[in-house]
Amino acid sequence: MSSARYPELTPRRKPIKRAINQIVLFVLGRAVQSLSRYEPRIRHEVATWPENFTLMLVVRPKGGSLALRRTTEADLRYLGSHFDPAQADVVIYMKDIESAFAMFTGQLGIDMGYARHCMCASGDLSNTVSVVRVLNTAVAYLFPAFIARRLMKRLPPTPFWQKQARRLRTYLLGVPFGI
Amino acid sequence: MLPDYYEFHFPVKLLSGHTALNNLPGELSQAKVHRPLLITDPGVMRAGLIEIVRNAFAETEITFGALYDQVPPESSTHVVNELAELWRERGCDSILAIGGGSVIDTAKGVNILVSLGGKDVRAYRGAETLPGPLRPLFVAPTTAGTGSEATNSAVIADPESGVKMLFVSEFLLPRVAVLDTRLTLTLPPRLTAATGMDALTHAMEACLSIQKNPVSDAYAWQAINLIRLHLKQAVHTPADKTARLALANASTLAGAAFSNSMVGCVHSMGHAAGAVGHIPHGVAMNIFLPFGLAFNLPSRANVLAELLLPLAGPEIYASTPPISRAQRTITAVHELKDELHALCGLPRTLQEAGLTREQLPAIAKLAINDGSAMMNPLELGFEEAMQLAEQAFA
Repeated sequence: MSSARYPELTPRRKPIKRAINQIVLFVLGRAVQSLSRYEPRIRHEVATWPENFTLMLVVRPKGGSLALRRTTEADLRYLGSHFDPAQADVVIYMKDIESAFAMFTGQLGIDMGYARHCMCASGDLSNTVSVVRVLNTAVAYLFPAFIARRLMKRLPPTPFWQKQARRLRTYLLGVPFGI
Repeated sequence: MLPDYYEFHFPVKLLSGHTALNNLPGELSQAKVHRPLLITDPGVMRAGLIEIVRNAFAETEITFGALYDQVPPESSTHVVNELAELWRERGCDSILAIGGGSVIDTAKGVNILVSLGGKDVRAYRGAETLPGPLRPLFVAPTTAGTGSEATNSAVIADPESGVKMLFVSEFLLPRVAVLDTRLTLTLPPRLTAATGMDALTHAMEACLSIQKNPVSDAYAWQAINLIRLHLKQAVHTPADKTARLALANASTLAGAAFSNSMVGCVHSMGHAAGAVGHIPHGVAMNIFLPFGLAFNLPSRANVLAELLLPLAGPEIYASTPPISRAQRTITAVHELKDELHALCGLPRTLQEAGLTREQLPAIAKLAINDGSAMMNPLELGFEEAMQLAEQAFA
């Protein structure tokens, strides 16, 4: 038998999806940082987190990450994509690039993502539900309502023009400049 | 309806019977272990259940490396860490847990430390991140409600921070669970009723959850069926062995169901009421169950209608018009609560359980941050939680 007939089968690479995931992680990190300064629901949630509480989202394997830290002013600071998971209080791992892509592109909500075992987490999970509410609130600003409605059980109730103004501010100032 | 994707994992070997413990030594031999650490609590010792265990292991080569009988009602990281030291000191090679949810969760925590190394179990908290299989764990539940013998999770309190830490991993599941009638025969009627309603809540919420799947549904249905047939009988006649064994099975089946599909708002409310009002978990489940079902009615009417069959039996199901079945399911739970109240005085409302109206906002505030709320079909916000608390109050 010639073993040359049976080549190694190496995993396919998905550089475009990986790149999109990394871009969304950056946008999400900056957007949450910005919204945490003026969005009342997010501010209310973050105020309940312990000071310096650090949250990380990591896409496995090697699919990018984001880290957010609760500051003394009770808002969130985006710490970039090269944070050490060992230093975070909670690390939420997306188990694979496809699940992360589905969640980051508005095809799958956080609750259903967890229900479908797309995620696992290490650390103190006592703030998990609050973290999910913060992320869902941010998602409601980042995606149009007809997409966001499919991603969560109930859209956070925000008056139309207030929502558009905050959305504009998030996209024009929050994401590019982090303010 | 099939979900787009689901997972189901239940590798636990069940030994069920009136003298099932007698078959446990063979299971230890098959696992090639002969020196387990025996973990239990003072209640089990007082009830004399350890003698049943000693008799079951008579004439074997198996020696318990140590008998630890001081597990508190709420498992704690301190106890887990101490027990891991004891396990190492005595050269144990496995764990046998005899007790309720706290004992079994403690044993799961000890198993993490003795298998993966380390001195503080807090280092391993999290969901689905434990690396690799653990040591053989054998459990024999002495209550029929928590289903811990069939779940992939453990809740262990950290006395320093006051936080209840969650550990979730498929590796936490025991190798063998023993359902022996003799271990639950001494449960008093009210505790039997409360734990039975806990099991019923596990099963019904598993069917409603957003993680529900056809396999967990099958386990949950059988659990509900067994509870309908045997719960009232076990409360009325505690010495009825058939009813006891049926409830032990129902609890395990419900545990396997919710371990794979999670629970929902009834547990969120119940955990919160337990923390604020210090009421037993089973009592809280009994109080909130029909209100939680009614809350989810708008999104789960079909499921609730189907559950009427195992919950109320074929005659009632067949005689109820399809459009009324979901509401009839909720009514059947109310009726069961009333019957259990008449039989053993199990509280039906928060007021009967000794809570005051002033405690309701604190319950609602805690409930919306409980992890179970995530898997509930509908969003549980503060207003909804307050509404549930008000309904359950009186």
